[in-house]
Amino acid sequence: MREFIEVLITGITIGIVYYLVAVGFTLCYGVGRVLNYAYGSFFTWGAYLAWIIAVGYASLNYFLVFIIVLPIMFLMGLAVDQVIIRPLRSRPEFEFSVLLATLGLAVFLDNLVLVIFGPRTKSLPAFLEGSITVGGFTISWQLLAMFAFALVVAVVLFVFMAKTRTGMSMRAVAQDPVGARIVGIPLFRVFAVTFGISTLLCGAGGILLAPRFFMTPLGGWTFLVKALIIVIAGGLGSLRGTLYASFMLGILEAIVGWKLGLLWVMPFWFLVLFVILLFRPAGLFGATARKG
Amino acid sequence: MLGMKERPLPGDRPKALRLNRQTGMVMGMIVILALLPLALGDSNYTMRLLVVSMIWGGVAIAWDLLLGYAGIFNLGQIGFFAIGAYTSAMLSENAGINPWWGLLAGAATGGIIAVLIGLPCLRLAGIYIALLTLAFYEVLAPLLTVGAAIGTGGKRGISPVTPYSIGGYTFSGSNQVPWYYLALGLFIVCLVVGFFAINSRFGTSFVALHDSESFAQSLGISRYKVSLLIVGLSGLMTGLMGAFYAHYTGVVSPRVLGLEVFIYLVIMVLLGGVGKFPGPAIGAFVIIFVSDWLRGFDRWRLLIFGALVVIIVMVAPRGMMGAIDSVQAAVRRRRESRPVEPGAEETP
Repeated sequence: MREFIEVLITGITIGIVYYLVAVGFTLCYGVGRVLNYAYGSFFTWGAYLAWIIAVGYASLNYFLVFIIVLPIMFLMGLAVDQVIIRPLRSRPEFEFSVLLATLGLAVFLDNLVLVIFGPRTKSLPAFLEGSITVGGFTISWQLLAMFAFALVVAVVLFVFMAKTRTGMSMRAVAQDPVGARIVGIPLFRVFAVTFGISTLLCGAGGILLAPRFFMTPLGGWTFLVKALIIVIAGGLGSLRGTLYASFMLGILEAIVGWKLGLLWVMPFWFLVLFVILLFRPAGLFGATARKG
Repeated sequence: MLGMKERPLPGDRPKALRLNRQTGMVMGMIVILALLPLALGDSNYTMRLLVVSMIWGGVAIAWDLLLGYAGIFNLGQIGFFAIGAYTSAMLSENAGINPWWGLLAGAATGGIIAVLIGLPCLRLAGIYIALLTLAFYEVLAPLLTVGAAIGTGGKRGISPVTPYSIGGYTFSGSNQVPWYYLALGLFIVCLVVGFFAINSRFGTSFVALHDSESFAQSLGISRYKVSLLIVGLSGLMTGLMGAFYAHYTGVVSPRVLGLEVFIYLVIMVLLGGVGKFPGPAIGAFVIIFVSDWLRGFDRWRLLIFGALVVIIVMVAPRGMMGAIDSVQAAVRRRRESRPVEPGAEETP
């Protein structure tokens, strides 16, 4: 029983980090109608940038890693939006063009990592060593730190979306791009900021999960697929659905990994997704996936 | 509607043998490929590249039927390929069935799985199809890895896979000619099936659905049914090529589901031209040969291809064939805007 609760705690922690990653993905689609297949590569880049700063070329502490890497990720996102996605917006088959373009971008970015850093796996050290025992349960500081960081980012995101002008205009664009434009919201700027925030969140996820999984140049794809499954299960574009789905699947991952081994995680995720879609084709909180 | 009587609608009968660019290119491709071994003689290496090009050319045509004609954003095409390959390899290695039957079985399984995936997916809007089929593709490799119990061979896959034999003769790597003509036969099957799918009433229904969905539906065309049919057809062709691939390379492993293969297929179709039959097949030949030419660059190769995908999408979204189209259109415009000779308009 004690072991089970520890697994549960791990699951919740993974869940909140997955939430960060998935919410960036769903935000990008909800606001800008962009399905970003290079998302996994941004995850990888976040982790490798952190590695450069924390291990490879300097050994700064984690606090500085976040302060340096997150703005870089944001700028990377802005650049990609301006250079690749914005020119495609006038196309009739915009969503599909973006999908293919970001797929190419993903391959480009991944292989850039491969060329620069080589194929060998790298790892980030734990943020904090040791563990704490509370009421008979042993929790590593690492897990707590992960939880705390992710929680802070999630709360900041929530406040940002609810209170700031930019956040509110993002929500307005998600609801009705034309209406938003009529009231004078600069659409393209909102799209760009959204994309930047989404890559930032993804990079944050990369840094947080890197000490847990090994980093490889192609490792980001796993997380793209995980983000995809979470987002579809929760309902594409729905922030609330993403929240529930990421905790559900995070806990499932911890339990399956504990009982059967990590290899079984993806088949189980897919099974859950399948069952959800069987009853709710648009995901748990999706508006409508059926056409017409 | 009166004037329509004289001019047959595009779907009224297969305009199969009317000579236009499409038929010309298909015929030309078949003739050149059939005669090429005479010119190449014993160059096994080039022959091998051509066989691989034909395999992927077939898959590219099958995929383009969905992407370019039916507007179904299926990202799991390689999954059907892998399923065809595994079916044929498992039948011949685990059950000892003659590999020739594997071609049929691989095609059938590819088609059936495609329809099964299509049943739930095709009810959804386009972007959900892309998400779900990608999820299917990504989850297939782990499934094949954990599926060692049913004979998928786990992570290492199945190797060696028995080659084909006919009469007393067994195909081998040292003589590519039999492989080549078998591949050509299958490639022609894909070309012909693709050609008729596009140019028949069936293919025209997609044009109708694209132009005006409600009008097409009022004529009794159900998008769901025709989509399901074309997905099955595409899966069939892909599975067939997969089955051949398994016996040709002599090994199937989850690596065929790797990102590298996927991006190669994407760039073949993009470069050839989405919705520009038989462009994607030509794209396959170009990419296989370019990739071979670039093999010295090793790690840089995929980097280049990735960048190329982005550039093609941004600059030439309809690929080579689309570029030819726009050049032709520009020439025609120039010719039409030329001042008309005096007296030319004075016909009664």
